[in-house]
Amino acid sequence: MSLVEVSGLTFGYRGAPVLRDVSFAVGAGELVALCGPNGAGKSTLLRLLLGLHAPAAGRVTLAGTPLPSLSRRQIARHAALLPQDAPTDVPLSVREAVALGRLPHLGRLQPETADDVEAVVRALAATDTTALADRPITELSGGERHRVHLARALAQEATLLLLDEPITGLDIAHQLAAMDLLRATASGGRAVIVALHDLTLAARRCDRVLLLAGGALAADSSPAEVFTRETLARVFGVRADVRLDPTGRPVLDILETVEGSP
Amino acid sequence: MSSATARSGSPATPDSAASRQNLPPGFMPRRARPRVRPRVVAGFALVLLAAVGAVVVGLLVGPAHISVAEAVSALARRLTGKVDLLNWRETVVVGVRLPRVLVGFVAGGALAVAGAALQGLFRNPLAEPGVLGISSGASLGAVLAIYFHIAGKAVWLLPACAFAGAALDAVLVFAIAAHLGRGRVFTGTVLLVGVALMALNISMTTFVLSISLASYNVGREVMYWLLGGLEGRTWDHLLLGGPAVVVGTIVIAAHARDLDALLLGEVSAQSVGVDVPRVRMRLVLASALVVGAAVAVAGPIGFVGLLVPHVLRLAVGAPHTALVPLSFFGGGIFLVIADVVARSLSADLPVGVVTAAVGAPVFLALLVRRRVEVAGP
Repeated sequence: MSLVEVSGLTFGYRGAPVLRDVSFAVGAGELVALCGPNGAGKSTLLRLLLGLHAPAAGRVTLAGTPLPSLSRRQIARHAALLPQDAPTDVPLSVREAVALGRLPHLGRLQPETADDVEAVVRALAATDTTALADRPITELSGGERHRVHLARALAQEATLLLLDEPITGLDIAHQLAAMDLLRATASGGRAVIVALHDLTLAARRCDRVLLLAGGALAADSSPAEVFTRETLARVFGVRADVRLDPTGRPVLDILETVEGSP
Repeated sequence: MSSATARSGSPATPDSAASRQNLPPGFMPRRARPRVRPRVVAGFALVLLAAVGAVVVGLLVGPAHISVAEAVSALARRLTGKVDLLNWRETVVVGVRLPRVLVGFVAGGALAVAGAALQGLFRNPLAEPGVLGISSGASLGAVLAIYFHIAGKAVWLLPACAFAGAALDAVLVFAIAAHLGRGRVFTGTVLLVGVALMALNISMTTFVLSISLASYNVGREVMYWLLGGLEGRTWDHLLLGGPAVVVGTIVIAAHARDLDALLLGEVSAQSVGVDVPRVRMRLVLASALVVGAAVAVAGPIGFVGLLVPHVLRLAVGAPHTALVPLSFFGGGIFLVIADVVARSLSADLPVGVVTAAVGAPVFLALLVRRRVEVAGP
């Protein structure tokens, strides 16, 4: 069974259409890149998967249950979203912020159990933030703060992990480490959908690419099939060299913008 | 746990059993127990002791000298039902000072809890109970009750009118905010509507005050109420305000983790399962309830709601699970002690003067030493 299934999803802000008739399904073990130019509707799609907007048409199903029949708390046990722009002035310690990922598993006045503490410890270790655990978030660098928010999403232990540009602002080593972590998370039986601007990384590390263009799903396939010269020129307006490495994954060399494109 | 051990740990996998097996031998998450921070435990112990101390001091200080033994025996007689009506000390302790102290405690606690909730909810360090416009509604209700001589007919009528003013104001704020948001209530809209209604309330209150000055007694009573005081507070006041404050405080305390999650931003809060619109609605309503009740029985007392949560945040940090209950006790203690100081300085010095006189310099000192975060979102 798919962990998330989307059919005919259509949505607009105040009449301005953002997404048109988007359909796909993602199952356990998949690491899916969500790509597309600015304004293609990536963030909106991720929010729709979490039920933060009501679609104009179509529906989203989480682990077999349609979104409208789930409470916000039930959704949170199924799906975690790491938003693109988290506030920087959070007056909490790293551990406190990561522990908030356990909220959907706790009753209103119930204290944390050993399981919750363990989940936080694991999330801190996985994101290389254990040493920062007792520091206030306000004192961290941008990259460190990013990893803390990633740790919070991991501590939530939802089966569907949605991430909006989780590696933007990380140095190259932490970018690769973050992608490895998402890979391991998916392999452990979860589904991961990650919005990425870095097409090279998406091509190298993801199983599957959802390509959004102008609010419609322009492609949904393996990186090798999605990232072709033609598609890159048509959707992103760039001229690129694409070759396949020995394992059949595309290696992109993006050269320049195509004449007349943004 | 050292960072070196943690770094050598394998990446987490969702299956916790599997990941535990993958961990190196030195890595033992099982040792980790629910953490209750020692600072918080110490804070609670200290605050409970201080609360008892403040109530005792409140019972002992006043124009009539009463010893600890006399106060205790007076309380014991009342509790065991052996009332001695001819003992004036018993009347002073049980009939005058105890209700005054308890009303002060409940009102101070309510203002501080509302301040803590609103500062977290609006992510704004300067949010305080006044921003909802509720306290000015209570003031208008009280001032009208005094002006139209309703207040003199029964002790409970003045706080009841103030509470009605607060409730009417809350309903208006929400109705207008909901209308502007096409059915949804946004916190920003609530703030703006609250500020607008507050201006309206203050102008009407000032108008009533100016026409009431024609009579010295009425004018003095209006003025006195507007300064916020605990003089002559009775068990009726406690019965009127107490239950509302307790209910509202429990609602706010039950949403402490949601307040923490909101610090991460709206989307992150929703991601961890907080139904943000509903939670905001509940928290604003609960704050309006406790503030309305507090102002109704104690008058518009300033600075408690702003100062107490900030001072406590320095001691125990921002997480609301500790901050909200501690604020109740901290606010209660602050107001009871401020009232003792007011009573000691002058027979009819309103406690609101003392809270502002103490609170403003302390708050300024915190600002100057940058212990209070000034940068808002």
